[in-house]
Amino acid sequence: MIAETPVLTVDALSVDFATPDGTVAAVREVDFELMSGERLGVLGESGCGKSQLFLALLGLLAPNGRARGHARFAGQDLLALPAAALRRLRGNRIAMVFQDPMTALNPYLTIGTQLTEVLTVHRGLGSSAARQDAAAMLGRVGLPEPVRTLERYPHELSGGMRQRVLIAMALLCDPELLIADEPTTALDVTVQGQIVALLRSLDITQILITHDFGVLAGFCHRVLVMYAGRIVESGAVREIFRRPRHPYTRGLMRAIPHLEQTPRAPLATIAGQPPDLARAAPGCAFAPRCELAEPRCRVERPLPRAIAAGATVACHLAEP
Amino acid sequence: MTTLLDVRDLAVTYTLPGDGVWAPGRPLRALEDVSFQLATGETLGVVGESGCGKSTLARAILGLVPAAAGQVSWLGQDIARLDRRALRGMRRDLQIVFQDPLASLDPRMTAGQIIAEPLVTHEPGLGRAAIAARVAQSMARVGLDPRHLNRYPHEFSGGQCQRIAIARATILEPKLVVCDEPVSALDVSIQAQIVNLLVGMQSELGLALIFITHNLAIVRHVSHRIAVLYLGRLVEIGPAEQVFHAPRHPYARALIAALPVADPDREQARAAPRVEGEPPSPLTPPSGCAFRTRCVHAIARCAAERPGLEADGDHAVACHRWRELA
Ligand SMILES: Nc1ncnc2c1ncn2[C@@H]1O[C@H](COP(=O)(O)OP(=O)(O)OP(=O)(O)O)[C@@H](O)[C@H]1O
Ligand code: SF4
Ligand code: SF4
Ligand SMILES: [Mg+2]
Repeated sequence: MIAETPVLTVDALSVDFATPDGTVAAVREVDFELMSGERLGVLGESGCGKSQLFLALLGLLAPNGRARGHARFAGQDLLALPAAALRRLRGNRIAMVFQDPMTALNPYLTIGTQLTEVLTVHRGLGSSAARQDAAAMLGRVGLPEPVRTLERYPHELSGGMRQRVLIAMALLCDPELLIADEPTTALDVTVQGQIVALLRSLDITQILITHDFGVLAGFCHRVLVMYAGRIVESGAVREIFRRPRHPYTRGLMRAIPHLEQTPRAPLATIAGQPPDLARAAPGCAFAPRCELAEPRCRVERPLPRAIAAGATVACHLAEP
Repeated sequence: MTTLLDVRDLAVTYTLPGDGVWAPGRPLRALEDVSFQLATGETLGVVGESGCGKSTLARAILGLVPAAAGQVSWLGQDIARLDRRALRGMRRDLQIVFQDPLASLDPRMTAGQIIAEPLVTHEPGLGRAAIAARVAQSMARVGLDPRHLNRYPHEFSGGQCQRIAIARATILEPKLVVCDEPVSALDVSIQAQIVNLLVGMQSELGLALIFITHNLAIVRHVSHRIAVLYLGRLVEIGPAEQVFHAPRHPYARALIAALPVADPDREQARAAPRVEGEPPSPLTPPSGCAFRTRCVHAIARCAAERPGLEADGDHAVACHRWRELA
């Protein structure tokens, strides 16, 4: 059930990285709201800022990164919280699942040790109660033989099983918000579907970061499309797929091979490549690749505007 | 059309280190009983999940790993028995493009040097000017600006690096290019550019392609025929449209059914996946049919007896029950 109460309100969030080549503007003035119970998809190509946006919310940026703006969650501004308070929130009220489950697990500790640690540290449970809860959670995320799995090490599990373990770990403290960054990208197609089905079955507010349209289509209620650090379009998932309004979103939709397409006929492409985020240019970041670009697109930046109920587009030419 | 490549009952075995220093190595059967043919100008798509032997197949075709059984023939000759001259000819006519564009290019060589390398090796008499002209032609053909020939790989984007790799692979106008996940590391908007380039080069140069990928939508788009691998075995092979729209092997069906499509109405109504679990380890493959541990149609015979590839016209499948399930 989607409630009308926002769980997270992000306001003018920007992320910069200081590099020898100058400042990399990874995320630019991002605004969005996430409602309780909503599943939000974040779509965009490699390097468009999807991951940094959410790492910034969790205080997990690399040392050369800096975030500005506001992010209200549970009555607090995440970007203003001291590190210790943010750490308590992470893993407790906000949990995150990453692309590569192997790097997120400690290779030297059993699954049981890693799961029960979460419970004893965050929830103050005793060790046998913690083991019971941990095994129950492994069962809930669909791992066969949960009790035996507690005794195993990460390398003894397959990729799909490890991802289930991470999801179990994320759910142990009953978080209000789960952020999953490309959780199925490293998995096989037949296993991908299982993990998406599992995530979809959870009754919790979720953000899914992906570049896979198919996964997105099956998972979320609403979609944000990012390009060069900015949200260029947002709206209900069905609307975005039925009628993408931003030229970039339209280009992406056309570029994926559809099953009805004539084999070997040329696919539609988006010419050129994404801009270098260390070289800020005025105007619309998509202009060099946009078929519709007009002179003003190169000088005047299009701001996101509400174009239909719940939908925004950042393009001078977008129509309702 | 002539048969370029004839793969017969091919098996490839790797030896993994044993559990202790003195323990015997453990054999891993990466490929077993793989047979197919490839004609000039044809595209064969090879699909399957990670670890199913796709890249091993590419390496065996190039003669980079030895066959433990069976053979690979190039223009009618077993590649394990080619004399030096024939081997040179094969190396010239058989090129490869890898998944990770940046990692597969030598970072200390310029784009021009990388692209010229096969020319320098195989046409040693060529003068500087002739090489430069061929490199420029090859760069233009793949959509690279010939003025960038003195740049190094790190100065190009991923998509451009893949164009460099394709320019190198095609400069000798080979007969076959094996593409191992050529677009998997690229962004959606760049993927389409590279797919178009490969398909275009194929008709321009009359190339045959072996297109290895886990991306089913792309494989359907580029292939004349599709081969499906599971745990090192060929479970189905046939014309692309038939394999895609009327797959016969239960694994091929599950794989194609699992492909998410960009359609929220369909995807949000999607029932839980029909195939459970994950591929078993190739170190301990199941007896009989390798898919039986995940197959909803498995019967006792599937554990006892390995299904062989059974041809029905140009569509072949390895499943005891494919006829009754059809
Ligand atoms: N520590 C860092 N120093 C400098 N630049 C960085 C750093 N971390 C990220 N960036 C840059 O910030 C931009 C956004 O990166 P981000 O990781 O958010 O991309 P993404 O959309 O998640 O991409 P992908 O799909 O590849 O995961 C990129 O240009 C990236 O190179
Ligand atoms: S603002 Fe102009 S350049 Fe940007 S997407 Fe719209 S039409 Fe294209
Ligand atoms: S041989 Fe048996 S187990 Fe294998 S795919 Fe066919 S029915 Fe399933
Ligand atoms: Mg990312």
